[in-house]
Amino acid sequence: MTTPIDLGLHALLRDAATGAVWPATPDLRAGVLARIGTASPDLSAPLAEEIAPHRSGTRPMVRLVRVLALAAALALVLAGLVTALGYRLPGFDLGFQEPLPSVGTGLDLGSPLPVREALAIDRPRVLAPGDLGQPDGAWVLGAGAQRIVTLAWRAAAGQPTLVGSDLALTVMAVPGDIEEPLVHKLVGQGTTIDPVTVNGDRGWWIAGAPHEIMILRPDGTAGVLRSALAGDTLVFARDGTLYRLESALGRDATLAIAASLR
Amino acid sequence: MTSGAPDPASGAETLLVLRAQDGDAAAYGDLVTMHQAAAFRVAYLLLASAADAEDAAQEGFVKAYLALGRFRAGEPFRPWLLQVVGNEARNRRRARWRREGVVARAFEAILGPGAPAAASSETLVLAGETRAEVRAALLRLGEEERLVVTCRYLLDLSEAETAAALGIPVGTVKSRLHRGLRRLRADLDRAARATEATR
Repeated sequence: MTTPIDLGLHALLRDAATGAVWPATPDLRAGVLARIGTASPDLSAPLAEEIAPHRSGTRPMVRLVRVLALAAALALVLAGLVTALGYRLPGFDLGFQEPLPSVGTGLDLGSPLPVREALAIDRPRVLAPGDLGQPDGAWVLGAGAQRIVTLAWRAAAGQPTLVGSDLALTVMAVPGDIEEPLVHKLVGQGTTIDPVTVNGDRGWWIAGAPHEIMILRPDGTAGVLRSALAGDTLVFARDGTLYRLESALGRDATLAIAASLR
Repeated sequence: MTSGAPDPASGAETLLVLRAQDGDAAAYGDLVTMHQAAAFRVAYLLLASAADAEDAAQEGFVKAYLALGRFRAGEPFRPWLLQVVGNEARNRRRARWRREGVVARAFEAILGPGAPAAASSETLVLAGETRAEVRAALLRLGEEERLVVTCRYLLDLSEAETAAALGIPVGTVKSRLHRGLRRLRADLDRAARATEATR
């Protein structure tokens, strides 16, 4: 007897395709032409997939998102190369782009929440440095198992700050055990990437020219939810969580802070 | 079936894109005619409603036209279009809180109740049984794998087009396809052995 396996799975699926009964395709031409009327393609029109659903952006934000969505696509294409080079941690991909788009600075970290609530979140668990005292703020981006939690500390008098803010340090926790990395970074010429370890956990110190960070939509679909140029950043993975420390304090101080996270 | 790499745009398609970018609505109308079946079916797969799929596909075509100035002529148009339409359909699905089971319902509608077993010859009976087993095995796949397998085999989309339509990276398409086909193979193997044992 001829079994399904003998016939070959591909042949069986092709047979299923032949037997599929789709609803009749409506003629969309007239309806589309009626709607576009005399409009012409617009170079500045945002595409639906480039704007996060359920959020309305200001015009500058739309422009920013549009530029960076193209970069996000590039990051996805480069994912294989990045993996081959080893620039990958759970929840994190690092890509290269030359030149970097000229975009604004400052990272929208999501919705603020009380620090104690942020510290009580179990997944991802955000860690606080032992030496810096209580964070000055906390934010959450996304929801459920794919949320991103960030703590921030203001710069003390005389301390350098992250560009466009009064902060000296942010510590971001990103779930790293999901299928698609939530955070993509794009770096260009002038940015250095040094492998480091934090209490035995591998990571990278990304410094020099500001690099781009894009956080993909928490539902895992490709697209840009938040984007910004980032300053010096330490990323490392621990227990399935990606930790990202954006710091104005320099490499040694930041590594020491990371080592004290608990 | 198309390969994993995106097909190059045909000269005719590129010409239509260039004319449409210059504001030639009729040329864009020709692009709509060329790709409306794929766009509608992707939307139907995600929404399980012909009326909703028609709305989503039309909206996708309109949005794609308005943004056409930023599309690079010479690139294949269909993956880009399917990304816009797929996103439109997903947004509608998300907005209506009806994600669960939608793909399964669409799939059941597409494949129907399965081939009747009361055929006139043994060959037709076996073919009908096999088709029904394939259908049942496809329905037993998880939604993510079923969507990818359906786009690749029932819609004959390339891996790049599948990724664009579903809003996921090509690497994810590859891994879900691999998992889905492996499960289908195992499932059909089990069904074949069970059938053999009862004959």
